Amino acid sequence: MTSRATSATSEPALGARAVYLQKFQRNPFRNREQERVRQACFAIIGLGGTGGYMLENLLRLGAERFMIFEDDRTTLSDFNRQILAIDKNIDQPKSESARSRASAINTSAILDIRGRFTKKSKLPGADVVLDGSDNIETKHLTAQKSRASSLPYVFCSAQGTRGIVTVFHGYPFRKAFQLQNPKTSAPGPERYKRCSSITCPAAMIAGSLAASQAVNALLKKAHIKAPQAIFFDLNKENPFWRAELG
Amino acid sequence: MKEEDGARDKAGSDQFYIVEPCSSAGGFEIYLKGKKIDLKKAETALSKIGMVGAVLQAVLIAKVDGCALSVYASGRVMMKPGEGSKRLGKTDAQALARKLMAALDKAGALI
Repeated sequence: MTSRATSATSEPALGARAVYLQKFQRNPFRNREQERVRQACFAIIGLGGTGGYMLENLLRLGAERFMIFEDDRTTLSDFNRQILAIDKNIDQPKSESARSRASAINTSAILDIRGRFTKKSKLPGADVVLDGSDNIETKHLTAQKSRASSLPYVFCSAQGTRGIVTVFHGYPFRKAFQLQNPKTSAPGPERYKRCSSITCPAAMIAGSLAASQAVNALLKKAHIKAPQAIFFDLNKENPFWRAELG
Repeated sequence: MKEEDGARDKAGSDQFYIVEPCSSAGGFEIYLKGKKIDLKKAETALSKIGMVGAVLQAVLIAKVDGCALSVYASGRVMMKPGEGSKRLGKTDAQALARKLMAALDKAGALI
């Protein structure tokens, strides 16, 4: 379902352009770069802890076109870390909450809501894929689909106070994470099958880093490339470092 | 990606299924098939078999058999072992789900 995020005070076309330029004038982009960000389609898988902040950051960076894969509703257990988790959104579809949030920032934002990301999901027209999913199976599937479509795939993971972000440009996901062949065994080792608590700062930083790297990849600016990745642990004295995945 | 429990259950005339969203979290979720929950009636029903902590617009918080419940009007119930309670196994979760659904069905809370 595609629909424009609308509000009661939608601007006329010319006015909307002027408002857009005013709203996003402080982004450090050249005009053609800002226009590229505005016109690009960002596919976001999941609107949870990291995915919500991906959307928020991309909206603030001036993005207007999104393909969203999410079928869940907001629950009380989301409140510690998810930007869309506010009282009025409890038990509401996250995709609808995202539409409302997008509209509040940019009435021209278009959210193409596509439900859960599955083996049958496609990424038509997407320019970059950002992974805000919370399990290795979906991440592996998203990476494979992105690779098949020659799309940059922004990997993002947060757990506890830690996180990892990188961009895949065709580098095999299975090789990066040393996954076993899914035809002969489970798709991932047990260490990736655990789920644990996530703090808001970790989700926010990981999601924000992912959005930033996605825009840099889109604009062909400097960004991290798999198998290298940005790691962080907010409980360390030096919380950010760069290392190889695996 | 949620893994649907292969064994489906029925309580009264309403079908539901259970998923274990995180194997390490020790919690389970019940999803009603094509039904929603009337929280007012659910409050009455759950008060009889446990303790209701709060009722908000779209969610009810309760405790039944030592298990913390979040009951959502859209037809979803999250079950987690309460503090100090032992981890909830799949069999325990299924038994509790049947008990909850029977109580809700009897009170006319499944709509």
